[in-house]
Amino acid sequence: MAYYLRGETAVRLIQLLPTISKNDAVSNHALMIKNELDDLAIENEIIAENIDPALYREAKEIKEYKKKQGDICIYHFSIVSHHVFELLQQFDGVKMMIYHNITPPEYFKKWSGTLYQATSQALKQIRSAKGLFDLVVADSNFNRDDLLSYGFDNVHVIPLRSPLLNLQNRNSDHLEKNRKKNNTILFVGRIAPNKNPESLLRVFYYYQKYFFPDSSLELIGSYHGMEDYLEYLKLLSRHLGLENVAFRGMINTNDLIKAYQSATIFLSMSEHEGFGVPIQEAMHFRLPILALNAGAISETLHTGGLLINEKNYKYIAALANILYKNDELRKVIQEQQKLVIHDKYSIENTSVKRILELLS
Amino acid sequence: MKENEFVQTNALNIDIRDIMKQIEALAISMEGDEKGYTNNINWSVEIDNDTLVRNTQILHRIWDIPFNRPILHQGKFTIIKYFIKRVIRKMVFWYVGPSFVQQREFNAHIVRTIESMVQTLEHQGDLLRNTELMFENVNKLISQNQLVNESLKKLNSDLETRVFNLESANNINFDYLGFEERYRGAQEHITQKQRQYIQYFDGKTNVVDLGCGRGEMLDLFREYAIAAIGVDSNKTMVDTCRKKGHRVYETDILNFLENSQDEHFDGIYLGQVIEHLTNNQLEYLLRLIFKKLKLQGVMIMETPNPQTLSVFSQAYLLDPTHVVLRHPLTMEYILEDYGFKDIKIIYSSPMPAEYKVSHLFADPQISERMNKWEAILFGNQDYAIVATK
Repeated sequence: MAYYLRGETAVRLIQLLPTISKNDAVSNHALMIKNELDDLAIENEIIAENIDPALYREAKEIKEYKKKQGDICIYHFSIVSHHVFELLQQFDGVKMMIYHNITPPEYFKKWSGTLYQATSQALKQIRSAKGLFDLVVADSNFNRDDLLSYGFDNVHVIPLRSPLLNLQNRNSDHLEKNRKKNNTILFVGRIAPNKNPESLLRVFYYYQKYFFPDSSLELIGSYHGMEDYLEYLKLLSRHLGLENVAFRGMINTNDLIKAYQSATIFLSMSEHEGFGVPIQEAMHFRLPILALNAGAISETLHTGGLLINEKNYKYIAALANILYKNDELRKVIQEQQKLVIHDKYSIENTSVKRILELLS
Repeated sequence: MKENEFVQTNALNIDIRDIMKQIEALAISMEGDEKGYTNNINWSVEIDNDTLVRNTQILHRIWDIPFNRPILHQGKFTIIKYFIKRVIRKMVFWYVGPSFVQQREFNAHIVRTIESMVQTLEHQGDLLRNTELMFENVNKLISQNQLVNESLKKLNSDLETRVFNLESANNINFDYLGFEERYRGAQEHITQKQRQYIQYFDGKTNVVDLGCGRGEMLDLFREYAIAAIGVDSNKTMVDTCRKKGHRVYETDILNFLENSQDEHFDGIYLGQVIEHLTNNQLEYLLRLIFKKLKLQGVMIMETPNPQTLSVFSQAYLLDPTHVVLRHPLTMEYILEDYGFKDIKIIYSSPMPAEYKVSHLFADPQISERMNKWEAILFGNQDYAIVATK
């Protein structure tokens, strides 16, 4: 295992992140790295400011951290943090940053003062952090460009790999039949203005009214801290006279997998996406995708779906109708998804090993 | 990459152009329906009272966590299971118990706080509704008041118009001085006629000529060295008098008397005035005169004599400002009624000699009858009534 060692000394890898919680892309990434490091028998720890009680085993609090010579640090950047950032600054070993994108604060201005503040401060913090790291990794080209604009250079791109990709996916004729019977449009992602669930409702209005009165729309994702926005979405839904719209909130992994397996179309209207983990997951489960061409969506989706360049709700509804009816098109897309997951997001391409290579 | 304005894909084996055609065809059915784009949603955090009440009820139900839940025992080894569970409970009680009690206390407080908040909200809601009702009523009252005000205003202006019409019904604007010059007769003639009244003002020191006109009577007063002033509402008349050096007030005679001191005058003369007054005005004038006259003060009113029929065809109808002619006996009675004494009627302006026919008849019987006829037809044109307070 000399490969993972610096010189002759055994290293310890410390992952730092502000908050670790279940079903959050950044946390999942950290946990995945931890699992792989555990598998490789490399000593490692996750240190976080806020820890979801369900993850007390996986992560430690800042005060529990005991300094050790030769510690390597991986800092996950997505939102502002204070104590963890202080700890980072005290590190004298190699420091790496994995950048997961900062949502532009404007999206939160109307709905959440806390998130507006947090993202605004995060923008300041990232600018101040340039030069602090020995290595900088972005999970998409889009995020790399973001970092370049903040003054970083020499940014490596290593895509994420959702842990769900390790699960078996069964795509059978039976499953596909079931998908078509359900006629459900699915979106997975936090209920937040940048994810633009509003447009999903607007597209669904035309989809349900003109093509499939029995169709349904499912939104899966936490609305924690966005309760007002959720109420607004419900009001909009009522105003548009929509039926079968479900805001399912945070659900467990099994239910999430079921949702991917039983939905008919994955529709993303997200306006700002640093990577798009659910897109990757939907591809893994061979769920045909329609996505607004924004942020990193195009590169994450690659050939695994159709991109929309214009917020023309009627056209999008019509396109969804085509994607529902045209079995051949669905098949072509599903084949492409298989390839994308297999090639682009292979374990080799996304693995922690690539990160470790950079570090060694 | 296959690109199209609306849709694109990175996959090479998808015919985007065909898809686009299908989209356009499908979109036709949705033309004109812009509801999906609607943006005017009035969103606010609504406190739905029902949900609030419902949730509070749930809180009431669940806040009191049962501490000593019954131990359920099923299946095999029930007694052992039960025993073990009891032991575990006892063992952890010292640790969990106090926190549990605290938790319950906390729950109770929370529920109480929320309950009182809900009640406060309800109370405030009631207050708000009452206030809204009050506002509604006030607004109603205001609009009613506006209506009343408007109709009052309309009524008022209607009344003003009516009063004006009534007041001016008998008004006629023309050159009254010129008219007098032409038809009243020469001033000397009048002076001569009026001279017979002078004797009644003998020794008076404070006389007023109400409606003095061209000032013939004032001339006489001056001639007899009786201190007299005049009152007339016609400016040209007043100017004429003033030119002659008389002291004359330009005002309405009722107004003049109203503003005079009581028992101020010892002589009042009204020449050709009362036939211009309505009953009301006459009554008011006579009462005023009585008030303003000194004891033993004398009043003389000259007016056309309605006992002579030719007066109607001449004097009465000639002047359009005449209202009604006053019969001397009526006047006498009224004056007596109002408190005047020593009432006397003086006839004047006898018929000109050329109208006389009775002397042309030889038969004394006819001549005598004609005399009576003449008296009715062509009697004295005017009379004056003299009265003392």
